[in-house]
Amino acid sequence: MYVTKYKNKLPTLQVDLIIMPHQTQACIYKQTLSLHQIFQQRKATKTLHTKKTMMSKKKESIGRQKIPMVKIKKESHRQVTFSKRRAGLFKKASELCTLCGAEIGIIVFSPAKKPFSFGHPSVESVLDRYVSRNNMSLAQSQQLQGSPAASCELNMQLTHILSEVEEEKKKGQAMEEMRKESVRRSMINWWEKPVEEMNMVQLQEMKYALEELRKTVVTNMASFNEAKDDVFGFLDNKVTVPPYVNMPSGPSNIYNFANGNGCF
Amino acid sequence: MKRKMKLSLIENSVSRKTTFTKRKKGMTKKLTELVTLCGVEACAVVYSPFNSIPEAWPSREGVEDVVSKFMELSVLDRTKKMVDQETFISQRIAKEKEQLQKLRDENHNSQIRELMFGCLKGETNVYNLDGRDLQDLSLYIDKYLNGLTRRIEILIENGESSSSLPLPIVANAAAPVGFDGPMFQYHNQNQQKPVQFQYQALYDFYDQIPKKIHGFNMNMNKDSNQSMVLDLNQNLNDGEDEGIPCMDNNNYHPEIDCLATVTTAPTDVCAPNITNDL
Repeated sequence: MYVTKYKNKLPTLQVDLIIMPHQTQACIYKQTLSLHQIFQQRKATKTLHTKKTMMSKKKESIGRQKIPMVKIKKESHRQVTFSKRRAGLFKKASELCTLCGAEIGIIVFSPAKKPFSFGHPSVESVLDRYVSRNNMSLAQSQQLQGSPAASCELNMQLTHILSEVEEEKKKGQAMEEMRKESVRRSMINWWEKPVEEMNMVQLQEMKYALEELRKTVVTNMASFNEAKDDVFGFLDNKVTVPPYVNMPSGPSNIYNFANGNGCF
Repeated sequence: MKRKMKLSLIENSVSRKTTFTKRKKGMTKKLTELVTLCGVEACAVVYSPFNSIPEAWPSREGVEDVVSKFMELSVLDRTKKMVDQETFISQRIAKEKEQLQKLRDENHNSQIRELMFGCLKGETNVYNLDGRDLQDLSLYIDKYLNGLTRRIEILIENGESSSSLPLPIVANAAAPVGFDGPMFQYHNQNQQKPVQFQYQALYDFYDQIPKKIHGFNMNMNKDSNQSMVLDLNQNLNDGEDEGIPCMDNNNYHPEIDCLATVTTAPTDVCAPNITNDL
């Protein structure tokens, strides 16, 4: 601030002390304006930062935002916007065809001058009908082919998959919510932290415990497979005792360090 | 309120017409936004089952321009990015299937992770799990162990670098000690040599005196043997033999004194000679 103030006062001092030609004064005024612009930019930056911070408090990411309806200047952003909005446009057109039985043809040229087109029943048929000004004959001939059946089936599949996606998303959110709740209650333990946050002693303990658990799991898998073999053996009138009958019923105490075996 | 609409033909004719009008307007708006934002050319032709006259966007002339431009392209370029409703829906189905599979994998990983930690805490019994869960759990444990091992190796490398830090310190500490040692010894040697040198010098200086005294005594012995004959010429010859005339002059007077002494006390004179010989 002190330096800024000093810089801000410097041109004024020069003007007061020395009589200068107009060009020099103009240069000084330009410098002053540039300083003013710098302040404006800083204010704008602060405003954006504050806005971002507020938004981040509410949500984990910046969600839907309104944008000015003008041509996007940056080439890459324009291309991305084109891809997304083209897909959305075709989706809406497809829905309109399905719901109302309309026939639509859309042609769009990308920023790279490539043609993208959507049509129902097809782009050629719609364009031919439009150019030739023929009203009904193509529609009647198309309807005879029975293409709506295929579209109907595909739409049913799409609806089914979309509902499944929705269910999986809800399930994922529920698990995430449970995890957050456990964190909020401070029920999380040191071994549930990410690996990067553990120190050497914790890593060694965790490795040992997991190796023991892995042995138990592998042994149980082997006994599970042998149980299957025993089923076949039983069919052959063989009498065999499953190996897991003699195993201890509970988990081993070696890796059960949550009950306090000197790890804390 | 938004409702989940069924993707099929609307049965009610009036409702269908209303929906058509609203959705057509929305679609046209989306097309306008696309053209404005991306600065591209586009057109749309809509045939309605309720109206025999087709609706064109942006206008009849605009549509004709875009269509003519579209037709100028080769058939391959035209059909490369062309989709009809069935193709478009199939593409959407494939994309949604991929997303579904990804979500399922993520959820499954979360479940297996909770299962693993449950087993570690003792909340879950490993023996109650079925084969598929056991296999997935085993794979997840292997993956987690690999991450742990890699992390341990990273920490060990950092630990080695931290443990190697004292070594240079020790080396730096030892080097001055080793360097000072020879310096100290050298200093001692420097001190000792001058001392010896001075001692040697003193010794040399001391050796010279006894020789002269010894010579003097021998001369005295000769003079005492020849005391019966007092000849000044012989004394001068003896002086020449010594080679130091000044000393001869000095010796002359003591010789006389010594002769007198010999006459008075011969025993005292002999005793020192014996002592010198010993």
